[in-house]
Amino acid sequence: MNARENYLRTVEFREPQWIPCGVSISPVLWRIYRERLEELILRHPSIFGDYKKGSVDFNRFDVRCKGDIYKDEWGCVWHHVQDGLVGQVKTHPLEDWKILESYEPPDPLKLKGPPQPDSPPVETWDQARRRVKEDRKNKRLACGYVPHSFLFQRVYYLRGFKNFLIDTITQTGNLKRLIDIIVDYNLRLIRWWLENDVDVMIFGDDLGTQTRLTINPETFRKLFIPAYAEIFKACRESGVHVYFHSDGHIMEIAEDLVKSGVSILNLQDLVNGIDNIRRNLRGKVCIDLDMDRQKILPFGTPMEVRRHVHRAISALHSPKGGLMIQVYPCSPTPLENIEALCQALEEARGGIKFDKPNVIW
Amino acid sequence: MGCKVLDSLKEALVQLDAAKVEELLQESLSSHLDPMEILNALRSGMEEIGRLFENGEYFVSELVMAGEIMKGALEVLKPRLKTERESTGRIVLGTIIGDLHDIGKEIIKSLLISAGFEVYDLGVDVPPEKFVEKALETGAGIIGVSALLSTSIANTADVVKALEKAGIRDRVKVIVGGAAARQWMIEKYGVDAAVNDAVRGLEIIKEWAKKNGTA
Repeated sequence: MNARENYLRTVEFREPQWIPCGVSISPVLWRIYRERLEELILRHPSIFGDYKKGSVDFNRFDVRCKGDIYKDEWGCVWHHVQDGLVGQVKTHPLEDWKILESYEPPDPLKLKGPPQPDSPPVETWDQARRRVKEDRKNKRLACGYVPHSFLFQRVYYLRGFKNFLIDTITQTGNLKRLIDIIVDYNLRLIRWWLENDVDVMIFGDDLGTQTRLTINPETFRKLFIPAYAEIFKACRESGVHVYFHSDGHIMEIAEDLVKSGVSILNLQDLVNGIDNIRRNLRGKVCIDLDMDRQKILPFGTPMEVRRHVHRAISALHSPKGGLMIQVYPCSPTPLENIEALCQALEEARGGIKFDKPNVIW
Repeated sequence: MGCKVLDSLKEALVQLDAAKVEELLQESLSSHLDPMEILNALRSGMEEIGRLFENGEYFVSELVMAGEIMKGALEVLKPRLKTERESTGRIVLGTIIGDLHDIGKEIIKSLLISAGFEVYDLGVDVPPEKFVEKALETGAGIIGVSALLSTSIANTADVVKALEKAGIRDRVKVIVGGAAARQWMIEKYGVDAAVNDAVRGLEIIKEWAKKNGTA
């Protein structure tokens, strides 16, 4: 069984052979650990796949370099304050609702390639088309994507966070109009990927804070769930799985997301609570568990890391499927904790998620 | 009659009804109610909003909306307060260097102002020594450091070191607030408190100010 088949069996609860695991390491850690990290990766081919030595540039941050500023196609201006980290939007083109009247939303298909959130496209449309075709030909999982922060966060990138939070209380017609504009943008993009025959569409939008949803769950259901449902429906009607990632605590609306069409839900373990995830989501959706990168992984001991991995997997695993693991080690995670993580994943019947190594995020 | 209007004013704030707050504020002033009593009714409303947040009934959006309504109300009240209000305390606020997030800082700022603190806001991406310079300049006894990114939290230790270097560590308390705040920072970085939500942060700051007189 190849990784694609195992992945799809996991999503569809058709008894996969192993738990698909992904460990994508931050560019900052690559710069710190360099060859030592590469050696670790080569020691764990069952997690990282066929990684080729020398294929990562240890110093490469692309546009994510401290001091860089990038204006995206919506007119939002991103500032990068730390090397290797996603930037932060500091200029919001729709801070004043008066501008909405004359605002011309971007056409994603007029960009050089599929858009990224805080940087220029990383592949052209032709390259993306060829990649999907090659993946199909070689029986690898073919994925399409919209930029991270595609809807909920895009509203506040355009409006400014404070304005947005107040909008969710006052709920003027302008907010609904803006959501519709953003849905249209995403649908154009999704249709392009669907025409190119992908298996999975990848979506990411951070909806939660550390302890609760950013906005009232009732308001979220009213304003945003219909918009997500419209976007996800387009994928599901074409037989394409919907992978949805969110940082933060999202338990109150997780089931609403599943009902709106999510087939793989990537959510944080400790922030949402492993017991909550087990109780509310296990068996209803394929869980891609985003394993802790705030407490245990960066600051715990290797033993604590191992214990955590085993506890999470034993709580959520089923031979039928429905569980994947994703880990994003970031600074200041010690190398021995990444080693312990990989060992524990191997012990728990973890294996590669994709045929192509995906070792950097 | 005064009491009824003030109860309604408090309730309108808790319900986040900006228009009603404005209307009742004007009515209270036209009825010649003591501006200090009006302010206390609004403060009581903010405390209720804090409780609702702690109980999980209100969210960040409600805290921000309440802060905005309160800000507007204070603008109206300020010129009418006969004597200079006695300050509850003085505090320097800022988001630590390497981090541009400001919403958490804005929330605690509005809660602090509502509670009668003098707040000196240094903005975002603030180097440790700037916190100390401002504390020296204003005589503030508390520094509030906001931190969302776990990659920036180590910089909060430098605020403590800068206070030690300036020789004022014994008179200035440091509280770290935000998603990245952790209890172990008290032992490891030498800060005095670390909290994940603004309402708890306000409680701690109020306790400190109470113990020390005005901070």
